[in-house]
Amino acid sequence: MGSTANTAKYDGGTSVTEAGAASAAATGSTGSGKSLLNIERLSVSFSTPRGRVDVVRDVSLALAPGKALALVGESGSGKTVTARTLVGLNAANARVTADRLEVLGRDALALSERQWRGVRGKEIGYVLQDALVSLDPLRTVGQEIDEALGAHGVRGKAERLERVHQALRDAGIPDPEVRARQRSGELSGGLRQRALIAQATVLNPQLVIADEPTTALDATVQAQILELLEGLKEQGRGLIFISHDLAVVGRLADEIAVMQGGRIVESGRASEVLANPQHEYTQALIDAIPSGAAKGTRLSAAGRATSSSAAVTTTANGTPAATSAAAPIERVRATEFSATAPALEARGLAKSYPGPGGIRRTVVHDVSFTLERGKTLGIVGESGSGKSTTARIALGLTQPDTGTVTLGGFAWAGAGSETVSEDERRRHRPDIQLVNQDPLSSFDPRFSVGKVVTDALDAGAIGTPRDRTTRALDLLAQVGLPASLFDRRPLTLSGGQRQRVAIARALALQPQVLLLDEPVSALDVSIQAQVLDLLADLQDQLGLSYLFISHDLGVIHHVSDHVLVMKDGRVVESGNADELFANPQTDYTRQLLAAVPELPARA
Amino acid sequence: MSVALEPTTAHGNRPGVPGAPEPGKPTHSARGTAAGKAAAALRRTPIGVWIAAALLAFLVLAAVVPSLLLRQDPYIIDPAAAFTAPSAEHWFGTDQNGRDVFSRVVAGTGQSLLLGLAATAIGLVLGGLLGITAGVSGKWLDSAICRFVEILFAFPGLLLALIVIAVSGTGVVTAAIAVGVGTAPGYARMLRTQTLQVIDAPYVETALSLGRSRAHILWHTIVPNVIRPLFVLATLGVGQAIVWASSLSFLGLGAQPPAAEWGAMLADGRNYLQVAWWIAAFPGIFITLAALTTTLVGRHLQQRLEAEV
Repeated sequence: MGSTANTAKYDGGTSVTEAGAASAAATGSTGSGKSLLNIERLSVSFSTPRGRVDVVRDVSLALAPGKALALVGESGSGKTVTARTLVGLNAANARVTADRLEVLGRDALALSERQWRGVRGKEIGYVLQDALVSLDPLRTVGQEIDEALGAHGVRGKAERLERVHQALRDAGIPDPEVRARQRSGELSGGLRQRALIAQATVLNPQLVIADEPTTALDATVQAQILELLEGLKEQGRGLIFISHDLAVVGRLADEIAVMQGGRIVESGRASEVLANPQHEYTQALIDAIPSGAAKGTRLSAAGRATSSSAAVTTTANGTPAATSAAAPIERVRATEFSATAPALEARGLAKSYPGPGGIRRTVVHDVSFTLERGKTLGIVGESGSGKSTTARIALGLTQPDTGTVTLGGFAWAGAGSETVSEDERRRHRPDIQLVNQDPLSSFDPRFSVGKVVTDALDAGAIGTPRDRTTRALDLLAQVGLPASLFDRRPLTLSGGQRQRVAIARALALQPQVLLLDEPVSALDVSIQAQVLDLLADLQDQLGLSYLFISHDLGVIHHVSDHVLVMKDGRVVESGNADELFANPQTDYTRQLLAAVPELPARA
Repeated sequence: MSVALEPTTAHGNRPGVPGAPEPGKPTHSARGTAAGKAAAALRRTPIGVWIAAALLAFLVLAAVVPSLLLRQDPYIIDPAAAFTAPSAEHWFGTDQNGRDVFSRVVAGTGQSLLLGLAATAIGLVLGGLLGITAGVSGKWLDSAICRFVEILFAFPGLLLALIVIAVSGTGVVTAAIAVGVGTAPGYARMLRTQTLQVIDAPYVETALSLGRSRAHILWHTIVPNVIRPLFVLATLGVGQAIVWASSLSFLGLGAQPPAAEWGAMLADGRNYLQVAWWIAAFPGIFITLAALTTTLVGRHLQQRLEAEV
C-alpha cells in the first residue's frame, strides 16, 4: 500500500469530520472556544530510596481546540512524565503540585482515581509510546478497541462492533472488518500505530495525547501517520504530542514547548520557534538535525566550537598514533590490503530463504556496489528492503546464493565455485568491522568497557596484555570517552557512550572498512549529532571506508559520498549523494524524499 | 539503584546535554556506584531471605564443623535413656536406642548437604555435556540428543534414580549418582535452550568478525555465557536433590542404618511415631528446612541476576 490508498481513505471519510463536529457540539458545555488545557507551574517529583527527584519543574502550558502542541526534548527531559500527568497516570511515588492544573475545564489535582477512569479514553485519548509493543499480542485489535468502549459503558454488541470498524476506518486502516480480527503480530508497524490511534480516538475524545507517535517508523509510513494526526486536529480536537524529532514537530505543531531537565526552556508558535530559536538548547537541537544542507559541517555544538571535538585528538598526519606518546603496536596483517582495489566491492549478490508453502522468498536481488577507499557508501531503504541482509553478506556472515564480494581486492565471499571458506576469510576479518544499532547486544555480557576493547586487541594478538590496557585507554580517548569508564559495565552507560565503546572496539584491529548498520538510529538527535561528528573525524584521521546503512534519509545524505537506494531487495537507484538527492531519477526515491518532513528555513 | 535516580523515561538513555561533551559525566566514579549498588541491594533484601540465609549458615556450620554443635556422640547407645521426650538435656529427645536426636540431626547435616551438592554437580555436568553439545552441534546430533533426553523425561526423576540403584546397588555414592542422573534431563534441556540463545547473540557474531576461531568462540564466549546463569539455578536444584537423596535413604537405598542421615533417621523413627513423634519429626523438619532455605536463597539470587541482566 502507498500513500495514495491512504488519501483515498481520507476522501471517503467525510463522516469522520461530521462525527468530530457532532462531538464538539455535544460537548459544547465545556465551551468550544475555551482552552482544553490550562497549566501553571506544574511540578512532578518522585520519591526514591535516595531522596526526592524533581522530574518536571514549573511547567506552564495551554492548548486551544483544533491546535497541536508539541513537547520537544531529549530522553529524560520530562516530556513523558508531563504527558502522563495530564491523564493521571503517574507512578504511586509521584508527587504532583501545580498552581493550576485544569484539563478540559476540570481541576485535575482534585480528581480521584475513579473520576480519572471516566476521563481517560472518553475525554482524553492517550496513544502510548512504542506502537510495536503497546498492543496485547494475545488479543485481536478489535478486542483491544472494544475494551475502551466497554469500559465507558457503551452497550449493544452490534453498535460496538460498528464503532470499532469505524474507528479503524477513520484511522486509515484498509479492510477494518478483517484487521479487527487480527492480532498485533499480524500487522505492520504502521498499521499497529494506526490501531493504537483508533483505540485512543474511538470515544471521540476532545484531547488526544500521543507519545512519540512516529518514532521507529519508516519515512513513508511516518508521513502517513502525521497526515492522520493532522486529520484529528482538523476535526477540532486538541492534540499534544511528544517528539524528539524536530522535523516531525515542524510539520504538525502549532505550538512548541522545548523541555530540558524538566523545565520549559523555550515555547511559542511553532513556526517562530523553529525559524528563529532563542534558547541555545533549541538552536543546538535544530543544528543537530543531519541533512544534505549540513553536509560536511559539524552537527554537535561541541564539534562546532573547536574544529574538532575536544575529546578527539587530530594531528597533521592524522594517524592514530597521535593519540598516544607510544606508537600503537601494528597488527600483523595476513596480506596487505590492496592499495588500488576498492575497499569493498559486491557484484550480483542474491539471497533467498525458504518461505511458507515451500516458496523461496528472495530478499536480495542482484545487488552490486563499490565502496571506494576512504569514502562512505550509504545504503538507504525501509524495513524489509534487504539492506540488513546485504550488510550480513558484506560482513561474510551470510553466504550469498550468487555473486561475489571482494574486500580490498581479496576474494571475501562468493557462491558456488567461488565460495570462500571461513578459515580463508578469518585472516582478513580484522579488515572489516561492524558497528550495529544496539551496541549493548554486541558486548559479551560478562565484560566491562575496558575488557570489551582489550578483548578485541587480544583477538588480533596485538601487543602484550599490558600494552593492550594502554592501547584500550588510547582507543577510548580517541572516541571521546574518559578513562574512568574503563571498569564500568556497558549496561550502566548511556546510549551514546555505548555506541562510542562499540566504535572503539571496531577500531581496535585497525580495520580498513567499517560497516555501520543503523549506528545512530536509537540515539537522541543531539547524541546522534556527536556520534556522526565522531565518525566523520575518524574517517578523516584514519582514512576509513564506511558502508553506512540507515533508514533515515537525512543521516544518509549527511554522511554519504555515494548512495544506494534499496526497495524490496533491489537497488532502485544509486549514484553520487548530492546529485541523487537533488535530482532523484526514480519515483520511489522521490516518494522517499517527499516523505521526509522538513524544517522551515532558519531566519 | 542508579536507574531510579534518572528522570523516568521509557528507554534507558540518560538525559543528554548537547553542547557539553555527553560522555564521562563526572558525577560518580565507577567504584563508588558499584559499592553503593551492593549496599542498596543488601538493604532491599527481604527479611525472609535473611532468615533463610541465617538458617542455611547454621546448616553449613553443622556440616563443616559438627563438633561445635554436637552435644554427645550421635552413635552412643544408652537403652536406659530410650524414648526420652525433648527436654533441656536432650533438645530433640532420644530415639529407641537412647541416642540423642539433636546430635544425630547435626551429624547427618554434612552427609545430607554433601549428597545434595554432589548430586546437583553430577546432574549439571551430565546435563551440561548433553545440552551444550546438542545446542552447538545442531542437525542430527541435536535431534538424537533431544530424543534421548525426551526418553529420560518420560520417566519420573526418582524412578530414574531407582533404576541406577537397581543396577549398581545401594550406598551413599550411588545415591548421589542416582539423583544426579535423575535431574540431568532437566538441566540438559535448559542448557540446550540457553546455548541456542547465546549462539544467536550478536556478541558471538562480533567475536567471529574480530577473527576469533570457532573453538575459541565456543570455549571463551559461548560456554561461559551459557553456564553463568546456571550457578544460581543450581542452588535451587540443591534443595531438590537433598529431598531426593533423603527419599532414597528413607527407602533404604542410600545411607544405611545406623548412619546418622536424615532420610535413614526418618525411616527409623516412623515405627515409633505414635509413642515418640520426635524421632521422625526433627529429621523431617531439617529436610524441609534445608530444601526451603536453599531454594529461597537461590530464588533470591536468581532474581538479583535477572534484574542485573
